Amino acid sequence: MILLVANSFYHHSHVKPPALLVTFIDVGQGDSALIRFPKGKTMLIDGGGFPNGDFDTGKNIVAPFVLRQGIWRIDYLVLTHPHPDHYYGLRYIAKNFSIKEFWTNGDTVDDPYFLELEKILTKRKVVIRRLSNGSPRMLIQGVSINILHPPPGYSGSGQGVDARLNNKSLVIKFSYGNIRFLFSGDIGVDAEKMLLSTGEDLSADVLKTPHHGSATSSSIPFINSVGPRAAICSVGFRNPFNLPHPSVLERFQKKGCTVYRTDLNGAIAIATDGKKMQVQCLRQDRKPGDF
Amino acid sequence: MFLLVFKNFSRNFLSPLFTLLSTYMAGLVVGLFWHPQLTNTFIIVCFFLVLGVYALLKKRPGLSGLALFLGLFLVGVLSLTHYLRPDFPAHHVYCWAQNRPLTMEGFLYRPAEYLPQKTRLYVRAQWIVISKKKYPIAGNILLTIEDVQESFLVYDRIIFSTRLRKPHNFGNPGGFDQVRWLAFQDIYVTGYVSKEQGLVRLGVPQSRSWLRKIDAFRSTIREIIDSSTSPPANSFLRALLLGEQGVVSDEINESFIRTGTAHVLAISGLNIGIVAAFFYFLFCRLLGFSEFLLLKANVPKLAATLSVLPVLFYSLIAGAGVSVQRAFIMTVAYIAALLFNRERNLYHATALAALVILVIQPPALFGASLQLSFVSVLGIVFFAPKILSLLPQQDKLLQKLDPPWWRKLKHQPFIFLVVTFSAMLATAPLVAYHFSLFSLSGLVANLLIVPLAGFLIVVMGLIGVLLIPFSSLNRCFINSRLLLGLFFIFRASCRISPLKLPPSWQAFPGRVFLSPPPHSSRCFFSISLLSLFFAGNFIAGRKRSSLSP
Repeated sequence: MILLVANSFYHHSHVKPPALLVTFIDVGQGDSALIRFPKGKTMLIDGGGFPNGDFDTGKNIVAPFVLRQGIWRIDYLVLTHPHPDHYYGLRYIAKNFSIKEFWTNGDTVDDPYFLELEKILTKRKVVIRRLSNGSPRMLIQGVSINILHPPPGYSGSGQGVDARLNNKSLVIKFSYGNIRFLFSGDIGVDAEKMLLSTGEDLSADVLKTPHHGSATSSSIPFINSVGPRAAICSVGFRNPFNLPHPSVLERFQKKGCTVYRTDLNGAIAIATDGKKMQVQCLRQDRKPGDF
Repeated sequence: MFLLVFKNFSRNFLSPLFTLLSTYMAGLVVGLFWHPQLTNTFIIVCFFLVLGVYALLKKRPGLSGLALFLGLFLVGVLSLTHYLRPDFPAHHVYCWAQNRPLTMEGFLYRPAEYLPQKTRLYVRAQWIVISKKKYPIAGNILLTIEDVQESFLVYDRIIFSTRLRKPHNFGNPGGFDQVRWLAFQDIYVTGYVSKEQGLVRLGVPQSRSWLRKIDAFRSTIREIIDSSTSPPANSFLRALLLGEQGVVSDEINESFIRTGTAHVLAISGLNIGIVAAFFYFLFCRLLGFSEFLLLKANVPKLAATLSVLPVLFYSLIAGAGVSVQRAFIMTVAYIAALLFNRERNLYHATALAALVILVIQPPALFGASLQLSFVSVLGIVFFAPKILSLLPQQDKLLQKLDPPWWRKLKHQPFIFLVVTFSAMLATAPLVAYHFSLFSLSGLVANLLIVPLAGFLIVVMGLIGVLLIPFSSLNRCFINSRLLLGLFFIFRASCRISPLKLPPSWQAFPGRVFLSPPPHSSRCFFSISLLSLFFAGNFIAGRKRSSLSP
């Protein structure tokens, strides 16, 4: 018992990131990223999830990883859009971790798991913030956070409900010193065009590729405008959609951007002091086409 | 010089059993990271063992100890290399795991696992069908079948179409190592069969051995449970009696985890120990009615021997899986300690059980189940007497004023609380390491759940199961009220089994908290500290016994 307490105290007092640390967690075919701010605050963007829901990514992947970092409090839990591969894993996190705020684009879906998530958040009295590009710029421990998309009242575009939900994803830009990160959710070409038309500064050093590197996203004008040095594709190993799409990879490579993939590289951690950034991947043993 | 130090150390501080166990365990731990070439290492092992025996015959204990120590250490290393770096023959299914559609034939070598929306089959592949021709093939496959209603028996022969894949891990630090977990079960390939792809069961089974008969009996029990109870009661009973933990709903599972009583759902040393204890006391009482036995035999020993039978029966109907086998060996080791008048040296009994288990299942060392079982037993043996000795004793004269039944009854819950606390104290670092969870309410919840689930449901369920062969006879020929009564108790226990804890309890603040898992080095440190305590206690105990007249 004493050792347990000592261990928790040690983690709490000593293990603090020296700077901003962004980790893209390998949750299979889905998205999840953990952000540790310079003075220890934490943000979890999406929680991954599998469509049939029989494997809880929150319980089996995200929570063990987060706890391994010595974290049991998530200050900001973010859901970019309500699709299973983004929020199924959030239920366990919302239920078991101490959560301060929940950020969402305001979309809801008629799914028992989504209703369960809403119920947990309400029961635990978590502050829910519905964000849009009209939301004011925020500053958390020296990191500037700007919501670039969706506009207030935007109903989404594209064919089908899924495409509309994707295009309404929260797009968030983090700036720490000279280093910038762009989280683009699952937006498609339509939303990318909208973003370009706003005239906002989209430039970023690290881009979480939209919609897991699907061919219907990451258009050339968008990539040109962002101009990333590193692109992160959060995809499942041997995923049935064959993502990321080869044409998308080619577009990034032509721009001289290094593409990191969670299926091949595992968890991808990017640390920055605001001047330089360092990328670290957990595994190097896989190649495309491996079985 | 080294030999001298080793000689003194082994003579003064370690008994042969502990030396054997710790050497073998050290080999297993090293084997996790170092995988030497099997043939060469085997030759070296043989050399050391022969040298050890030769030195022993020549009465050179130092050299023999060192040679045997190194030999045993390498045996430990080799035991794990066999799992982690196996040499696959050319016809092994591993060589076919290329994600291409294949048609294969094989049989089930282990009982199937039934989950809410799928069934897991453990298939030993025999043939692969290519262009309508059969070619021999070897190796085990973990086959997942989508939403199938039918049940399977061990040695059922099946033909199926699937894509074989090598299992893979998610690439996060500290994540669950599924590849290693499967490799420890001798499985290197997985497959999935959808509704469309289909699976055909072939007529004649591979064998009609006793294992298949037991599996058929398990199937009967499953049907009775499902027909006599509705969900979620049936899932709870199936978990406790048949070891089918996968059928328990997430909601119930979560309740047990949050109250620190999840160990009740998995068939472990606790459940099997309860069965052994119940039948031991039952047989003691029954045999005590016979004057002949009281005069001519040692009734407690006879009762202990007889209690192995229900334990064996329970282990078999519980699927005789890896964890059940471990629990069975452990329980039998303690019964053996009682039989050979070694009950006072439970450390030795524990070490012997651990050694036997690790020889049979070397990878068990790295499983939470074995670690928790042994550490909790050691914790109880070590801490419980110390805690009880610290408590003020009631005056013996005052005690005599109480009726005997009250004297016994008022102490039982207290002793149980101390035992639970001791086990929790010892296992806390391991629980935090494996599950990142620690439940404060476990102390209280265990007091309620363990007797209810263990004594009432498991034991009564087991008695009910024993009466299944008679229940049809009962309807036709015998009108025994006792049999019927017991069967009704069994059914009643089925009905009360969905233990849903009151919401107010679950909302109790601080009842459970997530804990960052300690770093392996810190966990190693705490285990070493505990081991030092145990060793100190053991040495002190020996000194005391040598000083006493």
